[in-house]
Amino acid sequence: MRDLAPFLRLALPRLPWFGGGLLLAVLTVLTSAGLLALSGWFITASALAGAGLLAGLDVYRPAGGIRAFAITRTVARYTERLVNHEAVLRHLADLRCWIFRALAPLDPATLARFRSADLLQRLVGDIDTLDGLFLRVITPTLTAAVTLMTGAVFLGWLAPASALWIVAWLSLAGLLLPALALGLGRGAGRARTGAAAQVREHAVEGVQGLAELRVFGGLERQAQALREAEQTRARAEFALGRWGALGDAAATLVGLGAVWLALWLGAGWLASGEIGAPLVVLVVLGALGLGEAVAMLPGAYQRVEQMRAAARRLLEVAHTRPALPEPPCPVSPGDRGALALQEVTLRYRETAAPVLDRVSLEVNPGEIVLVTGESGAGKTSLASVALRLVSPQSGEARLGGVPVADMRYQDLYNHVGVLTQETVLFADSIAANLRLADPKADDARLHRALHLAGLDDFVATLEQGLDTPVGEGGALLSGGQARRLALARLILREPRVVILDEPFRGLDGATIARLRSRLTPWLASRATLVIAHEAAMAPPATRHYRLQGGRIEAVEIASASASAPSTAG
Amino acid sequence: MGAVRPLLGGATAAGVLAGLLVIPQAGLMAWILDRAIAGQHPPAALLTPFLLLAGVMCLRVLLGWARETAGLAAALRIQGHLRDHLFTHLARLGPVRLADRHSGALSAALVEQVEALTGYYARYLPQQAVALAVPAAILIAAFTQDWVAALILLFTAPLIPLFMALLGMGAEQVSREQQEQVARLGGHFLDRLQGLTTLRLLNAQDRAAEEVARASEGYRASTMKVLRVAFLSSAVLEFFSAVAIALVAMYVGFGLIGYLDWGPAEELTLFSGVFVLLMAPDFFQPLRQLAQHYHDRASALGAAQTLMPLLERRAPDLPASGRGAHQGQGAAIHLQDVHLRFDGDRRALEGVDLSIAPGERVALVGPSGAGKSSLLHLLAGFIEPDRGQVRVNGEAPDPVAQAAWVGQRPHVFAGTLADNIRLGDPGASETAVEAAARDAGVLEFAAGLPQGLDTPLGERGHGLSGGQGQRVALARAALKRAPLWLLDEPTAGLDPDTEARVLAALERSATAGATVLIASHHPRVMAWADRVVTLQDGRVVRDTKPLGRDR
Repeated sequence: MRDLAPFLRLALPRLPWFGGGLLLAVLTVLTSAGLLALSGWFITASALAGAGLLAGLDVYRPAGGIRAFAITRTVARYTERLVNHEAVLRHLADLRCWIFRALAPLDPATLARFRSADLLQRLVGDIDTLDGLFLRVITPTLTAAVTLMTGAVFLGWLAPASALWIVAWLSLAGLLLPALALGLGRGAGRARTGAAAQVREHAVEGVQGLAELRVFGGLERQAQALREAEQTRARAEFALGRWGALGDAAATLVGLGAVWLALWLGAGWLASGEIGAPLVVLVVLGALGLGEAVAMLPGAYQRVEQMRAAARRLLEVAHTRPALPEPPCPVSPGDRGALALQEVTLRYRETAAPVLDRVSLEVNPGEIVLVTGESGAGKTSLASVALRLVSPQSGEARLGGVPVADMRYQDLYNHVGVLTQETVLFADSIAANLRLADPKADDARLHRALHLAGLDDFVATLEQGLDTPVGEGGALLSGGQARRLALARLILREPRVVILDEPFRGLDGATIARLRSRLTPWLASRATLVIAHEAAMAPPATRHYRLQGGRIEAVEIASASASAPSTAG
Repeated sequence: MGAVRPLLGGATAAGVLAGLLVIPQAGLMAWILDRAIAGQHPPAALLTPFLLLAGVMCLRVLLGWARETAGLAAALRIQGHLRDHLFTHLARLGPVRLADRHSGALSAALVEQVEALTGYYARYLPQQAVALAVPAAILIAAFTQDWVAALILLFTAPLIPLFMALLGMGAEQVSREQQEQVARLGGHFLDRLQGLTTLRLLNAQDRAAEEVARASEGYRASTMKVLRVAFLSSAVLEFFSAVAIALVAMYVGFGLIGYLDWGPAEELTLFSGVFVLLMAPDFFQPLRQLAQHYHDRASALGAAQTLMPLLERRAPDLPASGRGAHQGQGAAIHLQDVHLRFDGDRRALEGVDLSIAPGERVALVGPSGAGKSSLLHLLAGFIEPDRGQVRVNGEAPDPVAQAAWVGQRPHVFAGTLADNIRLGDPGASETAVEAAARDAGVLEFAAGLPQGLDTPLGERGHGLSGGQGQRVALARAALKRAPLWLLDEPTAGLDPDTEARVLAALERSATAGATVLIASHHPRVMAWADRVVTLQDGRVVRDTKPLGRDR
């Protein structure tokens, strides 16, 4: 149970809910058993009284008791269900937040170990699987224990000692069957959790890669993969369900067995005159009610292994540590907003040639430093070092004289804003995407940022304006529009150091010319590092370097600025 | 779904039989009690009824198990069929028509909502028959003992369907809201998970975590709404059944004492009284279960109502395929008066006429949103024109046989680099894959990876930088050796060097005679093309052949 223990700890804040749910569950089973038992006692006593065998029967108190039990049982069951579900759903919401917060500080390389469809399955499916831990395992087990103990006390008080056999029988079955079920569910439970993740992954991939699958004729294979994952899942689910139903059937049989036993014992008591008929009937029907307490346990225990598999998948995420953690004693960045790389050497693998080889570079406020180079020359790595998304083998990046590794990420990203090479937008409105950068920005500021990014004209044509949805990953925008929206988002952050990675990617010549003129005044007060594969695809630079074979070298600025964007169309 | 019906029939039959066995069980218990109390028989003298009772109990449990198992088997089979059907439908709708739905929401439809439909078939439908047959049989059994007790049961029973109907109306509504919430949640989470690093760079991860908390909280609230209704309905039922049982118990009790001197009460015996009382809970049990499964029905209806708009979208058949690819020979393209509108009345193309000869290399240029992508989508068979004709080699486009596609954000599938390239031609030899990888410049960076082309890839080309994903997509296209290449800004973000290499790879394919349509602003692409078609606001505004390129 080691895998599940952390989840018990995580449930502690919801303890009042869980405790209340438990009390109500016990009350439900006890009143339910009491209703049956008292009714049986009453009828039998009445029959005896009618036959003249029992004198002075007070009919009103038992009748009132029956009514009280009936009403309490109904109310208790309703509130028990509400409270327990409320408890579990609150707990699951806590878990989702906990997993997301565990993921948030991970660096891209660590994050890339998980596929997002798989993360989605963990965040949604696996957490949902854990709902049974409390609803079906822990609360019912505790309920059964408390109920059986109470039952034992009552039987010991009202009936001969041999009545305790009934409780013993129910407890034994309540222990043995769940243990058996736990073992039987092992293989299938694990298989089900794994296969459910596969189903999700094939489903997400089938939807996201639909264009490629259609054109390249991979649809049938994808459908087949989905079908196979589905079949594996169904097989595991069926095995689980079949054994689970068998466990529940066995538990029902145990409950009926308790009734049978009570009848057998009762006939004996009557024959020997140990107790009267009304009490015998009370014991028999009470046993029927107590059986309810263990009826659902085996089926639940049979799913424990499935929950453990889900728990392990969640812990795997929770225990993933960022490769580049926050510094132990953070230093706040200096006031001077200069970005500097000093003798930075970066290798992605020990044996490979360095991507950056003793690269030094300084970007001061008011400067626009351009770095060009071939694809794979390490341009983006340069930005990653400055943003501490990777850690160089030697050398360091400094911001305002302070090594970036000594800063809290939050401070670092408050000072350095970046337009990443890949445009990442969220399936939300234009305004919501912009406000990720600054939640307090008013519409006027959003419009100004859009103007600087050359997107104001486009937004003006939209019926819904800023509230227009951009679609998944910005799919409802063209590539160039998405790029400029990401740029506007960066502008809203007003960072002192700006890193632009291929800022004009996917834009046409006219747009580039407009952007160059609009951006230049905004950049004037900032330290700007621009990465591009050619000078024409960047704002006019004050200095120009070229990155080649991991080494950096200065390029004369005259030749760089001479190459104006040349496009037709 | 032929194989499902017998399973459901079996589940129903087992459920009804198990329910009916309650009558002999109660009868035997009452008989034993009566004999033990009135006749003072010791247990050994009642061995036969005791053994019979054990037999009935075992049989009942066994039948209950059979019912569960058959119902589950049916549910799983239905789930499989449905998921398959839905995926096929989504595939036919294609990427462009589904662009308004988040893939996270679509995957929630495929996973959660399909699952939500099954409880209805597996549990609700069989229970309907049980809820009809078992109470009727118990009622008849009760009538044989005491008609007043039977009437008490009979008159409380109709309240149940009445309440179920009342509560059911609300349940459907909240269930639908909840299913929509599930879909939204799926989209929301997937979106945030895919953009985690971006959120971090924006210092927005705390806010995103709060959003996740809010979304989960909303999910909790909507689930509780559904549950409150479901629990309330079963609580009401339980209340009525408890009242009925109490009434029967009191009637029988007072009758046995002799307080009641009318009707059949005087003839009540201990046996008949206990017998009726023991059956009373089981008279209501099937109805209560039906009410519980009513929740299954409501969530199935909720799921169906979110799935239906998707399933009802007209999905044209996939472009027929099978006509052999004319490898080494380019495709001829004719567009005649092509009009295309998006749902929101946005015009994408307006009266486009265009003829492209086999082997021609055409650059499509124009401002963003001019219709370049739409033109490529038409030729890829993702959408059909509202008006006008699109013809490839004189027939409707057959992308599987004819086309290769490189989009703006090519999808990189789970698997190795080689697997991703081999999507272009599953039967291709390793040498062919390697050649395609070399031409597209994939080998350059693959050589630096731990297992070369056999390196497994992470999410969406994570682990692949900038233009690498596009080069994988180009290699995939090259391997297919298709007569028609459709490329949507394939060299965006590539440096001049790689771009030249990619264009050379394209050129090699083009010299083999393929027709190439490429949307790109790049001067290099335009210089390389035979022809530049300029689009604006959905119309062709210019159609030029660069100097010295006349054929």
